[in-house]
Amino acid sequence: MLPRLHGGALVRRPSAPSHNDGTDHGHQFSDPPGMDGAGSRRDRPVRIGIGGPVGSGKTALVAALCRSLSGDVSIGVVTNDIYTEEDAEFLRRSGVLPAERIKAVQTGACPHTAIRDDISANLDAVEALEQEHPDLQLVLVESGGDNLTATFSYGLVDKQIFVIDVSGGDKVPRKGGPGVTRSDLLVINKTDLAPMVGADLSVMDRDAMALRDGRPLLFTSLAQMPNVPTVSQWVRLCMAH
Amino acid sequence: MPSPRLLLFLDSRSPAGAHSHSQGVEVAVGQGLIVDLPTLTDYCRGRLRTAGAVSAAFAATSAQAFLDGADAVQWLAIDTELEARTPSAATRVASRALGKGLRRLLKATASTEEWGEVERAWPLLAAPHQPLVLGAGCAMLGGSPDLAARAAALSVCSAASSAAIRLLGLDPYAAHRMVADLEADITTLCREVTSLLSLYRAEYGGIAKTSVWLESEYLARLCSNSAPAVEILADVHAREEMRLFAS
Repeated sequence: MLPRLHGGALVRRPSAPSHNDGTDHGHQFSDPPGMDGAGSRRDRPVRIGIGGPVGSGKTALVAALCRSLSGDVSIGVVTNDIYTEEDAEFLRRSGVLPAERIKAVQTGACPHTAIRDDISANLDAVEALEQEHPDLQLVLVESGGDNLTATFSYGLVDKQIFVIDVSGGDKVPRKGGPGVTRSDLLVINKTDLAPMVGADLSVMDRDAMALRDGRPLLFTSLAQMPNVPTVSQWVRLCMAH
Repeated sequence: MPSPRLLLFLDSRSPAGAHSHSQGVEVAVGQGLIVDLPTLTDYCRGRLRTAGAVSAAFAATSAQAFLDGADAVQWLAIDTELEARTPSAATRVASRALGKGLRRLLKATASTEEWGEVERAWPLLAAPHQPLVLGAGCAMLGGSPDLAARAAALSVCSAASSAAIRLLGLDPYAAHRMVADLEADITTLCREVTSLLSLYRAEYGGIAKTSVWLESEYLARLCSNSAPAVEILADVHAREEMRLFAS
């Protein structure tokens, strides 16, 4: 059962991240207002937010995406760690990107405020990266570990990925919250731990899809598939769209 | 009566980046200098007489400069004078980051024509110090130099108090009461600020719309109070690895 999941059997519509309702028109959450207006992403790198609770694997996903994409995509990263530099330092040490392409933002003990209600420090960091690296094609903004209600403002990012993991039990998707229900891509990570914590992935799949109105969901195990091919493919589709 | 647009500009919930700055409270808490409400109160009083007084003076000056149509060189002079009154490199960086954030908010709050006036005035200032944007924005949206000074002084105390609530788990009502009780200090401070401004304006042109008073020794006479320990700690804070706040 599990190897099949890792192989992508439960992957939902990975080829249609933006218009996953089978049509070619936009909808509320995947195509936020203003995206095609002034300052649209055609004039600048695509910005993707990566949020989710503490320990779900956000930083590992960012590192995996950098490893997987940086061969042919020019990437910058902004981190919003609770204590400033920890995630940025991890990314710098892991060598997935040159240090000058990683910026850390302080969040004043309110990580959700920095990505949603008052995005000014993050905008400054993203714009600084864009100015310093004119070849930039993709900016990943990683939120500080918060809770199920923390989501990005579409004034800051074009698309957002919400990362949860199976170790908290298979009831997490059922609890909902804007990250689970509205994110452009939901990633359920650490599927390799499912047997150890008694989490039923089919329950997580069913509960999440019931809440997500057709928006995509990917199961990952960064431990077993460190290059996250399915999420990388989704990011590439966002960039091509 | 302040317009809703002005109130929105001054609302601490508006997105201007202030939530991640502690007015030096994080490092002071780390050093054991602020441990409870009484020590926070002392700190806020000290901040009011130093950074708060400087900030209020430059906010009022900037409000009047905007009303009097100051030119690019005069704005640069105001910014340079404030730079010289901010000894800590980390605080200078923070003040410009906050200025940039507030400028972004002002652009969103102002009409296109109003914003055009700011753009014409600030070709030399990409990221002005925060009190300049606060003062100019306040005046643009119908506020007086006195209101700009009050808002600047109050924001120094409310930012410190808000950070202490998060860092020490203080009762938010007790902390707000403490800030509200600083009213007399703020009023006195702002009276001094605006009377100096009125004195120089009266001398250099009076009611006519002219910014020639900015060419006098007025800027040199503005408050330059500072607390060396707080300035040094601000630079220490910027080098700390484990911090929640930008400043």
